[in-house]
Amino acid sequence: MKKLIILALAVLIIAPAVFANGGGDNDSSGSYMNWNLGADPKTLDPGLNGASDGGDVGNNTHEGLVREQAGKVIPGMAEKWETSADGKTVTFHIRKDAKWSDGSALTANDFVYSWKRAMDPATASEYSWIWEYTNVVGAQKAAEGEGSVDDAGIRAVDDYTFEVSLINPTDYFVSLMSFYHFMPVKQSSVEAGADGAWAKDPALAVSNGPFYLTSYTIGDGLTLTKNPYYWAAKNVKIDVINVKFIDDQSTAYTAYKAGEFDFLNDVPPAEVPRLVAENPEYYIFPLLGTYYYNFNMDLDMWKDVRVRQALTMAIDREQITEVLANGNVPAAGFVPPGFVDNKGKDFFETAGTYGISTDDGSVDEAKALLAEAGYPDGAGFPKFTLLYNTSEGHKKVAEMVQEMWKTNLGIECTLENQEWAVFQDTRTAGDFELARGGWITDFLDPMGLLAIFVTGNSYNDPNYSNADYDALMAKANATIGKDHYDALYAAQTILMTELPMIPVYHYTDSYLSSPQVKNWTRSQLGALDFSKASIKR
Amino acid sequence: MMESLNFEPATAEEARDQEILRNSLTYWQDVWRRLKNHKLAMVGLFGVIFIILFAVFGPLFSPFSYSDQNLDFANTPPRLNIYQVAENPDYNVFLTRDYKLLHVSDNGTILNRLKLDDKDVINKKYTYVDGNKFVLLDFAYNLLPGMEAEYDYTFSLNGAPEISQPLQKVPNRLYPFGSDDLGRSLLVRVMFGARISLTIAFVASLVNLLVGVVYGSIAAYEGGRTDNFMMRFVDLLNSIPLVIYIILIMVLVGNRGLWTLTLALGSVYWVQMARLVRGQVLSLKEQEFVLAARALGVNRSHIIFRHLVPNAIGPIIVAMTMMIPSAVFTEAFIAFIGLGVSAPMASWGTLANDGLTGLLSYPYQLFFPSLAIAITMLCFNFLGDGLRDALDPRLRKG
Amino acid sequence: MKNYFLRRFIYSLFTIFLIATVTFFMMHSIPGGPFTREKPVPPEIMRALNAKYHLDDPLIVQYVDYLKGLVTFDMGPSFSKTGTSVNDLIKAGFPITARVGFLAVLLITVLGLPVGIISALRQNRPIDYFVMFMATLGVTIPSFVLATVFIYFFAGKLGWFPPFGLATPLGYVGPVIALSGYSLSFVARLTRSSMLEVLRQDYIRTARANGLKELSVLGKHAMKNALIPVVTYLGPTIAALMTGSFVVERIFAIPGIGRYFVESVSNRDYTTIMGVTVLYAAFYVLMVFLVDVLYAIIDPRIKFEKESG
Repeated sequence: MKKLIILALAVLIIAPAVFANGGGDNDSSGSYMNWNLGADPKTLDPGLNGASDGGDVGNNTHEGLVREQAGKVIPGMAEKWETSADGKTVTFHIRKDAKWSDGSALTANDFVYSWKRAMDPATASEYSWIWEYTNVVGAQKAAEGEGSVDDAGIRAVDDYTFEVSLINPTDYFVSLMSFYHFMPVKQSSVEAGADGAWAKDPALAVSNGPFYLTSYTIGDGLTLTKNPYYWAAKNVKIDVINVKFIDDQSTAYTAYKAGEFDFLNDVPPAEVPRLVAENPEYYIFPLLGTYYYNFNMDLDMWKDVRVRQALTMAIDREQITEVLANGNVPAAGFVPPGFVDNKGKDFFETAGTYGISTDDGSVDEAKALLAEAGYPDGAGFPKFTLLYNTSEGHKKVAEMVQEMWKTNLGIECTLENQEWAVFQDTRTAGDFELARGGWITDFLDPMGLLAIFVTGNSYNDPNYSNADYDALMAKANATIGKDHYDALYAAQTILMTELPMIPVYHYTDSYLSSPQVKNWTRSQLGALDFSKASIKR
Repeated sequence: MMESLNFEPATAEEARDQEILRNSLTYWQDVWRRLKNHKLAMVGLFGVIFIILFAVFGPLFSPFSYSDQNLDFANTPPRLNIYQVAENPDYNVFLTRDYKLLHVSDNGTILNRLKLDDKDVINKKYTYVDGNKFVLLDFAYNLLPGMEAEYDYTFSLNGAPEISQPLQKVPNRLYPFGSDDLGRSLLVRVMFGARISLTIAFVASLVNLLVGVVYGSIAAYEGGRTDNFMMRFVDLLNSIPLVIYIILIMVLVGNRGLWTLTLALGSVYWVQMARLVRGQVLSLKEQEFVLAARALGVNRSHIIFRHLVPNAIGPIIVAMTMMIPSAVFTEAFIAFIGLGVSAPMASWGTLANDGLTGLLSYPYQLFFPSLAIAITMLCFNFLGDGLRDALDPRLRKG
Repeated sequence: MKNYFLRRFIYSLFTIFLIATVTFFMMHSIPGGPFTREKPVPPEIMRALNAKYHLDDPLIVQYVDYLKGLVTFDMGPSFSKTGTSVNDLIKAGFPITARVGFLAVLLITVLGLPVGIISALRQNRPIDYFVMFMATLGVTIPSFVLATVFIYFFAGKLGWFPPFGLATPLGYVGPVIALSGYSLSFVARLTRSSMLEVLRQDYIRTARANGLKELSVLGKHAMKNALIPVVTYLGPTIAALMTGSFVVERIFAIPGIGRYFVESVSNRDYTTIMGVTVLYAAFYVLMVFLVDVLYAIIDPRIKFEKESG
């Protein structure tokens, strides 16, 4: 009897598994792509989103006023735009054939609604702080709850004209419009599914991009289907994208090799050197960010600039990036490659290395500086702790840096790791000697990086303060063109002379894409774009 | 049966021997005597001793410390498949899985790394330089379409004919267990890791024995409300998320290395043992011998620790040994949150964890720490088996 | 006895409440919150976020609110999946986790117990050594290694199994093996040792000497008493297996609830932490209760209440 019950139970439990369909698999009538996103996004609502996984989906389901592909700004929902002579008014002309995926018309009013919603504290969007950097009149105040969203400088002149007033002329403003936070959402959908629930519900998920959501399973995956109402639908070559949320990189990589995926967002780091050499399907892109270590400038041990310089120079950055093997660029400044200045030159190239060799070329100078500071061969230098948040990658870099200081300078330091939220807390509280930092910017201007070291900035972890630096950054904020970039160059020179932090390398992003997938692009800010991609099986 | 009736009086000497045996052997002496006769247990015991010696004295015989890096020699396996690209004088090279070319002596000592001079990623040809020698590596075979070969790559020194067959496989003299992703000796790291992991194994067993066994047996023996309260506390400890608990300890006490780790692990690790012992004692305490002891007025602690616990020793020892590996891996997890010894020192659990990420290309980095754990476990198990037999009061002779 | 179990049941409910309370306050006392980010949210925005989710209320108010929700089985909205309730997360994931967990429990009982018994009956014979060796390996190799190697070798190299997911019945093989490996070994080992213990007892010798059939000796007498440690171990293990494993679900990409036990803490997803903790606690307390009931069935001599004497 007992056995019978067990048997019956087993059948009950296994049967649904046997007969249930695979979910993600496709009937292959159209062209489809299998993509591993790597995580179940917290939200698919572009207005609420604050993470790159949600951003990657959002960039394909939604479309802002413009699109940015590999640094080039191209028309999106706006077919053209103009900036007033004083640079303070930007007018976008929404295309007449702009439509939502349910076939209804998309107008300038949709943008007004979406933007006000995004900046409204009641919406509680994590990214609403970005309004500060848009320079849109009244937007920062509204986002911080000190003003009404109705006072923000945005208005729909008519259904197809959207006008934005800025506090200062802002060079990067138009390119910023490709960012997910500024994408339109449909009011009726948003109101039907609170807190972004609408965006994960295929019945409510109305969007305006090349694809729209047709299924979503918690923790498992989602399906995107070509949006027939998209204005450039004829360019969209893929009918269905099956997205999975596998976060284990080895599993995803094994599945890719077995042909189950056409596109991967992550691969196991240890496999990267081989992939780079052997596999043309592996793509590396610069990511606009920098990996660095913060000095706690409040401590006496770091008061002597020569000590900070010595520690900065005693690191062989090329060896570190070789071990990481992911195409990372050694950082001898804070601004990464990818920003074009007023002369059309790359900011990173023009800025140079401030006398810091990217390999072991500065070690002798570092030794000399340390001796000058009173610690020949590291003798008598106080022991200190290098703090990082737990991760294989951070550990690896910290171990290399620790060993380099030991062999090159004779300085001993202890490594300590903390669970990441604890680490954030410790770092913000300034309870550290040397702590890992990382900063990735969200808009195409070096200001996004350099601004964090302004006195009192919430991300100024070293607690660095320099009046000249602050003045230059204020100037950069208020100007465009030559003045803007001159101020930024000068600011970085101060930063690299004073060294409140040790830059280590600049971030990269990488993807594994099967040769069958063609014409996919990525924005410089890191969002994937399959609007023109095609796949041949 | 009949024969046994033919008694023969014992000699005086024999009688004295019996007498002495009986009087001089305490319980523990008896245990030791029986343990000595248990062959597998002795294998286990010597194994454990050997591992401890390996951990304590092993590093003395190595030129490296656990933290010494040589990034040029990173990711070299324990056996090197060397290619002889020149003869008289011999020039052997070894190619790592991450495309570093190393100059290796005939007997397997890595001498130096060749500098990567030119990369032709499209045609899969790399050029490496060592002084006036340059080695051309062609690894297009099996990678580019239309090329299929028996071998994956060829070498040619200064334009000499290509070498496609390895000379031989030689053991890696510099790094007998291979080197890790930062060019550290895995052998030395496993030796140092043993210090942490064995400490953890020891602590886990001790806590299980001292807290778990005592707690569980008292709860069961006392029964009723006491049992109920004590076991509900166990339920509480068992159900609180471990991660939150560890983070809390870290925030309150801070990371003071091994002892905070011990504190964290020790304070929660005994609950399973407590439950197991309670179950055993609940059943044992109703047996006749306990009733008899109680009737004789034997006191409580004597009944618990002299009668009940020894009778439950089988499951206790099995559980104790079986729970050691989970303690070793729990340590790695706790280290991940930030409690315990900090990098570059690494326990076996942490080494295994790190090795896992490179499993596809560098399986040996996972294999050796795992092997160390497995061997230790086998030894503990053999020893545990022997101890069980030795401690079992029913098997007591004499 | 009936009274005792009734009281135990009430105690169990109280235990769950206690676990929820302790977890609630511990969780709020560790650094970080649901909106802690690598790139920290500015204070003004943080204020808006906290206000929206009532995280700016005094802790005690939040606690009372939580309890109110708990009584009506409303676990609140998840912080790491905006717009999704914890109830939805559990509803979506639990059946999947439980299915894998049940198969693991099944495997452990139908394989672990018999293997342990056979091993005990053939003590010190090759089969015994083999079983013990495998069991030792089973507890030594952690599930993360087992799972990764399984995927790499059986799914990747040989292609016998799908590399992830539960879309086909074959997909269950890896997760079930990885999930049950440790407990399977533990149970086999524990069964063997208790069997050996019992087989040495006088009453077994007596039963055998009395000419009882071996099977009846084993079934009626030996098995029963050998079961106590196994049952003790299995109870809580079942609760753990049925609520899933972070490692196994992550590596095999199973959309269950096991992963939330770790992920929710690192995300400081308060509501989800409480949801899965209470779910597990309820399961666990129930199993521990059942174990005590089973004790009384297996060995009727066991009494839980203090004798009046």
